[in-house]
Amino acid sequence: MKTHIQELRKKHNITQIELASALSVTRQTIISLENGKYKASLVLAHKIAQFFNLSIEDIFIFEEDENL
Amino acid sequence: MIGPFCYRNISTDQEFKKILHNHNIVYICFIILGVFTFIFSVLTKNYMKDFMKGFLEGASFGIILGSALLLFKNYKIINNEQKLRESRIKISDERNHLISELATKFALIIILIEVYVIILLSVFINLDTLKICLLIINSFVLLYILSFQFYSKKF
Repeated sequence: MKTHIQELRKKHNITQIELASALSVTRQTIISLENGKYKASLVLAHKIAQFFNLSIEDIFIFEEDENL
Repeated sequence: MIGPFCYRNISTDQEFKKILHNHNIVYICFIILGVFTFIFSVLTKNYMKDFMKGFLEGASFGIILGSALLLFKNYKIINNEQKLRESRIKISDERNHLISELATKFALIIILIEVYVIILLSVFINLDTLKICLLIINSFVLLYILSFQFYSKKF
């Protein structure tokens, strides 16, 4: 699943380690999220949205089959 | 590597410290088990084949050494706040959980295939092996059904 996490992180001048620490996940998870290889759980998606003060839909790009 | 015994939802370092203390109790029990295994192998050495004696001695040594190393590792983690936090994050990371589940599933499928191959070969070699392998397969199927029912009700 594609996301805007990398753009948002760079916009806020935050490193992957800092973001991982804030979300209580490993740096490897952040890398996988940014590469679109890993799909975050609802709780993690919510935490990321809260961190950047945006909605989940603003951060995560949902494909056609992921919408109603 | 986390293994199939990773934890979900450990939100604080204090909670994780308690889990590590519980792990330490388990490791101490394993060390005691290792010592008993060694004593057992010494006391029964005249009643078993050399291979079994060597196997039991090796197993007891491995259990004692492995548990002692894990105990020491836990001690270092518990006494270092930075390592404690890093270890907690690593063990409760959801991506690590997914990887662990997929790896366990894959390993289980391969083991079942191996057991089936052994069943086919044991027909020509030793029927006792066939019975043991069938016991393993039957146990797996029964445990899977029971645990599926249990978790269906739990979630």
